[in-house]
Amino acid sequence: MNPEFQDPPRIRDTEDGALLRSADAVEVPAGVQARVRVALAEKLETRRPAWALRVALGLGGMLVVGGALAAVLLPSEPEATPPKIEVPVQKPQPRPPQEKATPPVEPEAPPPPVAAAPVRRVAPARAVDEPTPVATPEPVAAAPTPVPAPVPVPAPAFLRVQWQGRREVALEIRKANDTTFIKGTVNGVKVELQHKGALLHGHLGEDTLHLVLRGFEGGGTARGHETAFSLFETERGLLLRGTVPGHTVRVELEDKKLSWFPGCENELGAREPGVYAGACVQGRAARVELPKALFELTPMARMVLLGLVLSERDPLFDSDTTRLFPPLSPQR
Amino acid sequence: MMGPLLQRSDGEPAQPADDEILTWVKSCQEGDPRAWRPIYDHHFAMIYRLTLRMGILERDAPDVCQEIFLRAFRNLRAFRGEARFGTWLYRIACNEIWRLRRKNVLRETLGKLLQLEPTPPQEKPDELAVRNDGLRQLQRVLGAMKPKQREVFVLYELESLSMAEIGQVLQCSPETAKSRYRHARADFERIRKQRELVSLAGGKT
Repeated sequence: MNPEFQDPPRIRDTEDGALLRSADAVEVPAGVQARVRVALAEKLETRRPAWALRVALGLGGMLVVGGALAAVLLPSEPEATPPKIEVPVQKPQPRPPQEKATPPVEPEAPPPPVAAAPVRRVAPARAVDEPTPVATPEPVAAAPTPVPAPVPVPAPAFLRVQWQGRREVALEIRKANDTTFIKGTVNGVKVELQHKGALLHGHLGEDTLHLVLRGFEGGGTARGHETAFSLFETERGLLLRGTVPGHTVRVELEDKKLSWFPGCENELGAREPGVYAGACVQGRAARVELPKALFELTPMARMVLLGLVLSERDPLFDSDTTRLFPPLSPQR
Repeated sequence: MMGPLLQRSDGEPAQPADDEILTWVKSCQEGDPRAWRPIYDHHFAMIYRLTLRMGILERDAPDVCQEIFLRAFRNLRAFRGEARFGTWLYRIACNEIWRLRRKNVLRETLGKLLQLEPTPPQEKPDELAVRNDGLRQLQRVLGAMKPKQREVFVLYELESLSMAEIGQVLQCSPETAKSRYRHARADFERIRKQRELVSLAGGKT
């Protein structure tokens, strides 16, 4: 650079610079910085699995190529013939053979790691003081041929809510690739939802739920009713406000406490990471277990899911069935 | 994670020294997942103001800022400390704003070619960001300038960068930056006088 180079005088430093000095009045609107920060953190964090996935795919690909090369280049030894599987025709099996041969047809079910791996079901809701039962695999029908040892399935991740006299919630949250599957029951209603990208959709009993969740705003339809949600970042956690059929929703989640409205305005304290317990209104004991998989969802999806399953109006209003999970009728 | 250099005795956050920013950047480069937060907190307002001054709509500014910081943090390893971190960030911001401009131009051109319905009239960028009359006038004058001239003008007059720093941001020599600024300044004065005349004549500025 030329040593004699000098910056020219700025207009803003002269008398004519009043107009330019007015640009200093631009301020960042309240909340924008925090909102962008949370979205940024989300994106920076979601980058990691993509890289991990790429590395895993790369290694997998190398293994496949290496295996293929080894099979071609190395002299093959006479293979021991595997025991032939003979299914006795006259003896009906308790488990249909096609169930074992074909993968589950449900599109949302993740591919089983091994054909014989036991399928886990959503555990039924338990009483508040009841200890958590250890999930045991379903008994597999006795097969005439030796069955390979079952591959251990990762412990199911259940979102459980138990509170006296109110809605019982038991939802299994399982992530497969980039989709999270949420299955279980809420108030006796079968729930099957999927979350992928900005979309949270699926079935609540015979009705549908379809929500688009982007950043701090979300909305869509639930049981044919319009819903909308807004997420806010508080000093220590997250706050969701919104509407579901029949009432508004407010959920506040922090590391050390959880509360929601309507239903449990009293704060439930954290007993251990992800487990909140305490007394809700009228001294009703409540316990909420939030699985690790729930925290792998985006903040918006996590809070909306909690808003959907936690908030519940007082049973006093049971006659009004305009709600997400209507009270069970005696016939059901 | 506010360091001691950031806290003044009167409680107001002080400007961190370049050394402190470099320490954060280094921590970030070494993989500390929390180190990006103070960098972000310190530079957000600067980048937000820059996007508005460069003509980004206020409603789009948060998204643009997010994209700028995302690119910055993902490419942080490329920062070698040859320039100030703020200058490096300005460069990413300017590139991102240009990318957005090109995208908008392409969208408009395609829309015209395919005879799609024109997008509904948007508020002028600068009408949304205004807080007072002076600022509104300034935004209108800046809005009438050519993008390249506006860029160098904003960086020099409003962001107070030196010509050498502008050269680093725009990847040109300081002399080139100065030359562009001279044209931009003349343009600015011309447009401002035009608007003043229109205003005196009773027209809408």
